[in-house]
Amino acid sequence: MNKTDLLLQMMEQPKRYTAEEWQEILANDECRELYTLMSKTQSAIDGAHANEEVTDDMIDAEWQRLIREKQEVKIEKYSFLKIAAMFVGILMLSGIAYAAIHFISHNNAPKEQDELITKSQPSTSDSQISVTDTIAIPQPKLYDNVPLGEIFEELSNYYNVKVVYKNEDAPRLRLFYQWKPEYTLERVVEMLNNFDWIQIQVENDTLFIRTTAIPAKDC
Amino acid sequence: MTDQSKLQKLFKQHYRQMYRLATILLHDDAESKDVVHDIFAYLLDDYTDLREDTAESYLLTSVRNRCLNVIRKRQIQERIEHLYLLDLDTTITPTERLEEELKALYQGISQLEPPVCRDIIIQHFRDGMTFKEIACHLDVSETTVYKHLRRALSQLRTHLKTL
Repeated sequence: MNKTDLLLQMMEQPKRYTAEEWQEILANDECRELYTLMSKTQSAIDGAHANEEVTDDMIDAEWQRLIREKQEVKIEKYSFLKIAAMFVGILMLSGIAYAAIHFISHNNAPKEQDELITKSQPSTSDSQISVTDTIAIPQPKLYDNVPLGEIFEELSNYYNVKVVYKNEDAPRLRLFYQWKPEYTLERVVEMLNNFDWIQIQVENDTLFIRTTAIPAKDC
Repeated sequence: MTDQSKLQKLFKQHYRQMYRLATILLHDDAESKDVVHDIFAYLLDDYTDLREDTAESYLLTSVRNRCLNVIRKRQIQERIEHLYLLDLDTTITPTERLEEELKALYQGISQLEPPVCRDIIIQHFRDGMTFKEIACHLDVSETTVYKHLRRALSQLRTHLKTL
């Protein structure tokens, strides 16, 4: 079999031959020329076919395909922006929600304390009590399992007295005590002294507090 | 006139030539459509004002370069399968020269003698029949088909030399 016939046979199934085999056969001038001529023959026929194939309708259809694709890309871009905008929206909403919760919880904080107050009695200020600035509108207050230290922090302000704890456990003693604005300081001392484990002495503007019971561990 | 309508005008004006050049180089309708498509898709994205007098050569050069890129990516077996040109840079460069050759070749095909030589060329290159299929069709051996084919190509070569 001559070289050109081998080339034609190889061209029937190009993938059955290695790149080296192809390079070898195409290194032959005659084969190379024959191949190139075939390639151009194919081009001549395809080119002529193209002239027949391309109609105005085909050109229009291809232009429409192009524009449609472009619009799809735009829509994709747009929907991406929409998603981005949604995220921004969600972030803003959560920011607002956070701020709102923050705001509400701040507003609620005093109310939570108010819940401790029994509203059984209207706040009619006793003429005997000199109201200090720290508690503007005196309200009855229920101390439920509250350390003595916290109770007297408020009461000492209210009555404008100092508090001295005689033992270091004293401020941590927890009490259940209902206080009313109309109570005088003497009344409060008397009431608290009714507890066996609390001894309060009043000297001038100072309360000396001693406790004897072992206070419950801090909760 | 918007960029898009300018491009549409160029598209309608040059599509035939561009598509034809692509098919000459790629021997494939779908791939050729895609090449032209991609060029205009690129221009739609990033429109640079093409001057009336240079638009044609710009567009045809774009087609040529894109096609050559397609061919370069292919392995030699695939190039042979598609009958791509082997010497990309030297053979293809003057597009006008190639066009002249192809015109002469097409004319030469119609003048092939005897008719069986012309039939084989048409069946193989236009209808995509393999040599084996043609041999079966003509009820001859493959070697006989090769002989007719070589005779046909020899006539075409002579025809080209008279250019």
